[in-house]
This record gives sequence, C-alpha cells and structure tokens, in this order.
Amino acid sequence: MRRSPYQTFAAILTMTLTFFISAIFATTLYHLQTILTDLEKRPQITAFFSDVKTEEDIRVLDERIKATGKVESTVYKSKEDALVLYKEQNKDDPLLLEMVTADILPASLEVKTLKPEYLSEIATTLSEEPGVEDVMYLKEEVESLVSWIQALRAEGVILISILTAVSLLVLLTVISMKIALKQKEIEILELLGATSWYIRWPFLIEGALYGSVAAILAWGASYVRLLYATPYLDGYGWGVPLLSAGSPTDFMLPLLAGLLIVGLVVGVIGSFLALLRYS
Amino acid sequence: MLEFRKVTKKYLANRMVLDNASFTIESGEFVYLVGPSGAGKTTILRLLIGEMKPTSGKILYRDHPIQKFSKRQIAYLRREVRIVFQDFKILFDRTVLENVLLSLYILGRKQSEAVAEARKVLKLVGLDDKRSMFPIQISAGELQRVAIARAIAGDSKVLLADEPTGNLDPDTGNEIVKLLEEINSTGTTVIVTTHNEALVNQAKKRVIELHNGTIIRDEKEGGYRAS
Repeated sequence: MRRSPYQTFAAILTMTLTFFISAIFATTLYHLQTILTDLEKRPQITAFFSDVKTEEDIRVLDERIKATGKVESTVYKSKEDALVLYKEQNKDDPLLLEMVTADILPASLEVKTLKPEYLSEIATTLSEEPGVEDVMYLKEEVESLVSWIQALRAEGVILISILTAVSLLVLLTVISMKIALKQKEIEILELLGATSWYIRWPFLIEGALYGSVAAILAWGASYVRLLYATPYLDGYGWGVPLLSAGSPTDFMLPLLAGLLIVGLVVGVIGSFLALLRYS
Repeated sequence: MLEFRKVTKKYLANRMVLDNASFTIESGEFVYLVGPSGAGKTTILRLLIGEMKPTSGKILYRDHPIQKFSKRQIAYLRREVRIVFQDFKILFDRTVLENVLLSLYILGRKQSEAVAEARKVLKLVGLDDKRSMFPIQISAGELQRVAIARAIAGDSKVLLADEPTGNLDPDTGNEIVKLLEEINSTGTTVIVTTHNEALVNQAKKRVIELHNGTIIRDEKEGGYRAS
C-alpha cells in the first residue's frame, strides 16, 4: 500500500463514497419506515365533536359504526382526556398550557379500521353525522409515505448497485495494477516454492482492508451527517425522532456491521477477480 | 535422486529442444551441463523445477514423476529443488537479508527463526556484513551470492544454477564456483549449466554435454571444449 498510495487512496475513496450513499439511503429508509410504523399504530380516523353532541350520543354512534363489521377498535376521548393529552404534548411550553382549559377542547372518537380500504367509508359516515365538527384521518400521509419508501428503495437499489459495480471495477483495476507491479516478486516466489494461496492471500487481505476502511469512514461520515441533520429533519417526521429516541445502537451499530460485511465482501471479491485474471 | 528417462521436449512448430535424453543424478553429486547456446541445458533445468512438462518420457524426483505433479506439488518440489539464474532475479526494493528471508517465510518459518537461518546462509556466502544493504549497493558477484543464499536457505536438497557465472568477470566467476562446491560438500546436489570451458576443465566434475538437444557425452570427471 505504501508503494502505491494514490491507487490505494482512489480505491478507498470510491468505496467510501459508495458506502456513504448506501448509508444515507439506508438511514432515510429506516427513518421513513419508523415513521410509517408509528403512523400505523396511531388511530387511523379521529372524529372531533361539537359541544351539542353528548357523551351518550357519541356512544350510540360508536355502537353504530362498530356494527358495520369494518372497525377493529374505537377509543372515546372526553374533553378532560383531550386536556391531559394537550398538557403532555405541550409540557415544555407553559404559556400554551395557561391559556387552555378542558372546555375549549373537543371530545373525540378514535377509530381503527380492519382494512385500510374501509378508511374513507367510515370517515364519510362520521363526517355526515350531525355534531361532528371535523374528521381527520392519515390515509393520504400513510399512502404517500409508502410510495416514498417504495420509490426510494427501488432508486436506492439501482444507484447502490451501480456504485458497487464502479467500486468493484476500481478495486479490480487497482489490485490488477498492484499484481502487475509485483509480477517479478510473484515470479520469484513461485520459483522458491510459494503455493498459489501464499501469493493470493496478501492481495485478498489488501482488498478486504480497503473495504473495511471505506465502510468505517462511510459510517462515520453518515453518522456525523445524521447528527448534524437531526434537529432540522425531526420537524418533518410527524414527531418521530430521527435517531430512534437518540439511541445509536438501534440502527447505527447494525448499519456499521452491515457496511463492514459488505465492505469485506466487495473487497475480497474485487481482489479475487483481479487474481483470476493475472495468476 | 533425479532421473531423466527418454525425455523429449518440443516447443511450438515441433521445434525439438531435447531429444530422448536419459541420465540419472545421485544425491550429493556435482554435475555440469555443458553445450553451446540452444543445446537444451536450460530446458533441462526448467523441466526439473516443473516449469514445463516434457513432450514424452519421464522425469523422476525421488522416484516420483514430476510431469504428473499438481500445481501444489510443484510448489513443494521447488522448496527442495531450487534454482539460481544468470540474471539473479533479486528484488531491488528489499535488503539482502529480506531477499533471503523470502525463501524462509514461504516455508512457514517464524520471523526470529527465519532471520537466524538467513544470517547463517549469508555467513556461508560471505555476505552477513552486507545484510542490511540494498542490491543496488553491492556488486554483481555479490548479487549472485544473494541469489545462491536465497536458494539454499531452508530445505533445499538440489541447487540448480543456470549460467551462474555468465554475467561475472573470471575471478568472481571462480569464487561463485568455489561457493557452489562448498555448498555441494554439505550434501546438496548441485547442477550447473555453463559453456565456460575453463570453469569445467579445472573442476574435474561430472559433465553431461548436450548438442542440439541430444546428450552426446556423460563423463564422470570430464572436461569441455566449446566448438
């Protein structure tokens, strides 16, 4: 490596770039998936009632929509429950807490349907009910998120495949060049009785080392980028934290392990292909 | 120890380089292979280290047919049958000691053990004091000594020398021959190819003479007159 530092640098840099972009895609997909999972756990439809609707009226409505056989569960939230939730969500802002009482918050009914396709039907039923002020449901958000994840996954697979192929080619070229530079040494080693594997091992280890170093550098860079971007991106995640509640072990350590494995495999395969051509 | 049985070697276009050659070399012998350029001397050495296969005939090393050896077996053969070339084949970016260590690392020796063994052979060839020098800093005769030291380091039983004095002045050439004889006296079989008359005539060793790929003479204490 010390005899050909520029080729070594080129190989590591290309692999680092590939792994960095892979890490960004993986992190983004993980975050979107986390948001999706979180959204799916939330109530799918929330109907807010005006004060004319009594608790008894709401219970009747509840029974009626349950009778359709399309509802998995419902949760009634009174004005007091809404205040508790409001206080929890705004506990860091005393000014907002001072101005709100249970009277001004609406009672609500949270509904989870058995299948996503029942969402609009149940939402329509609820919105046509007298005394229902507003109906919110996350259908569009979930659907848009799912299509984003699918698009990113497809795009990521294509881009990462191309970059991996480029890395492999660069590594193959660099190792081939190194083999060509060491042709005399290889010839001497063969004459002295070195086996094929005795000659191959150093090149395979070199390839694996390039892959591992590139994986660690890419992981470090993507982690720094993530830490830097977290405060800005958290606002776009429907309240789902970007770093899984700040714990790096949830995603970043498995990502490091994954990148290291891919780095080793790409490094060894690149070297092995170069050795097939020259030995 | 080494036996050629009716060995023929043809290159492309049926060019005959060795024709029906038969001879046996016993363990501990010193043999000169002599003849003009293109007589087939180097071909015999290359056949002996398994670098090429004969077109017909058998080559036996310790009764095992070399021509049937696998790549791995050839590698192990070369740990016992070592060769030095006229152009030395030395790595110029390694020190004298590091060049010799190559042989020993292949055999799996540990570093301290390998260094001790390498220094022992460097003492034998008179280069221990130059072990830290790079090849560019030493003479041609010394480079040939490094090549010999590297070849005899380890488990070598047979030393093949292809025109070892070809690139050297007569005095240095004589020193190399003396060194080869000294190595032979330790029990190593030595086979030297040359077309240097003086060298062969003063040595009084076994001489196998080749001409156009055919063995024309095999004498116990022969001489040589280049035609």
